Amino acid sequence: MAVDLPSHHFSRRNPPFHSTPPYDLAVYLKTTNQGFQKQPVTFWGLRDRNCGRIVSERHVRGFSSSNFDWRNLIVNENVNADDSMQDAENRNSEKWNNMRLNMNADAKAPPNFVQNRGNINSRSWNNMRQNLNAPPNFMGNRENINSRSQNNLGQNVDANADALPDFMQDKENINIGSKNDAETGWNSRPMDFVRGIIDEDNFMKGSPFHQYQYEQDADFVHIKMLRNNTFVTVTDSQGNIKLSGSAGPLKDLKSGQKLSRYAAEATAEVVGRKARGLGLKSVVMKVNGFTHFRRKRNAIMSWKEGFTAGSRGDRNPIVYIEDTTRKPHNGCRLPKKRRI
Amino acid sequence: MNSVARRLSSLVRHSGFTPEPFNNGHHQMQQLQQCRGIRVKVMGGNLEAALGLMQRKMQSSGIERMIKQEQRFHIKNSEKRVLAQKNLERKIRSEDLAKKLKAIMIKKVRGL
Repeated sequence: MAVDLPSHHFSRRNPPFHSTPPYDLAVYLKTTNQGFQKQPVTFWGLRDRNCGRIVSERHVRGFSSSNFDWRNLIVNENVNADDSMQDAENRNSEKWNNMRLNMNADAKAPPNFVQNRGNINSRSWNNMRQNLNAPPNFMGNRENINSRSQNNLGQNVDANADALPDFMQDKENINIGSKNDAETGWNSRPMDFVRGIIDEDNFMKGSPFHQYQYEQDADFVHIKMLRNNTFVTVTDSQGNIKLSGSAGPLKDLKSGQKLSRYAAEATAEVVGRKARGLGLKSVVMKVNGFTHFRRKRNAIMSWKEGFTAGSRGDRNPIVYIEDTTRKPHNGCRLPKKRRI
Repeated sequence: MNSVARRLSSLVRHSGFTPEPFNNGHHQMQQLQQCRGIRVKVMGGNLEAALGLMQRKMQSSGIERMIKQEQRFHIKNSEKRVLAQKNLERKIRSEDLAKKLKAIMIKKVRGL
């Protein structure tokens, strides 16, 4: 006996309790009930796949009780005369529904008892249909009919002229479109930026002035002079450190006034001597420190002496002298005065 | 526009700009910036002359005066008022002393 399937395709988008009156709902429930009775094994297998675990006896009982409750609701027959039995069945059905809801975790599910069951039935039916697609049996005709209805639903919902006739392919098209949009959105900016850079580089390549190139590739010598310490760092034009030194490792200096007075000169001379082997051609001296100019002068001269020591005819590599000392305009609060 | 400005600045012999490396995340870009602080070019390797010029520039700019008046610790506003009053009294005392000395010198010179 062939089962007459409804023309409407019940899914998440078109739930039965929103679009169809209760009369059609009752008819639909009857048909689904018959379908379950005819093929129980397939349904169990599907349910296992959905849940991903073994089903226990309690679940089986609950399911059967839910079926029984459906008949009672639809046919309006008083099968059970005792009230206690009805209460027990209701409890089981409640557990069943709760479990289903917990598994599905669907926020859109309404709190009504009958409507929840409708959702469950529609999902299981969809799963059965998909599994039945595999063999080309008599059921294939039904699938064709269903596919037609699905096509109609897809077109109505998507309203897209380019959509293919299959429902699943419509989804694929939607995904592909979103991917295309994402790619274009994310990739356009870097490409524009890269093109700008390339154009600038091409423009830069044609510059015939060598002096600018010579000055641009000068190395930097940063001298940071603090109250009791001094740091000297040699870097290239890009800021990468080549050599660095400080007053701490120096052995000849001792603590107290001597260190603070001559730390800058000694450190600069040592670093200058070490930097002789780096092949520096042009150097920009950058001195930073809130101290008297006399000390800064001595530091610069010491570095030069250290660099040119040993070879009398060597050229002075210093091309620029900068004083980069800065003081904030009413900056952070100064530390508290020390209690002596 | 930055590249054009960079090329033009290279033409000028004495330019107030300096090429500073600027990391823009994707690649290293050369960007012109106003020179921070005092910058002196060493002409013909003569370091002494450059240092002298720098000293004059620093003194004229006032950085030396700021260094002398350096304040290392935080002072409360109430303490500032007290210090100001003390400085004022010291100033008045010195003026009075100067007047007295001036009067004494005048007397000696006149022979009174």
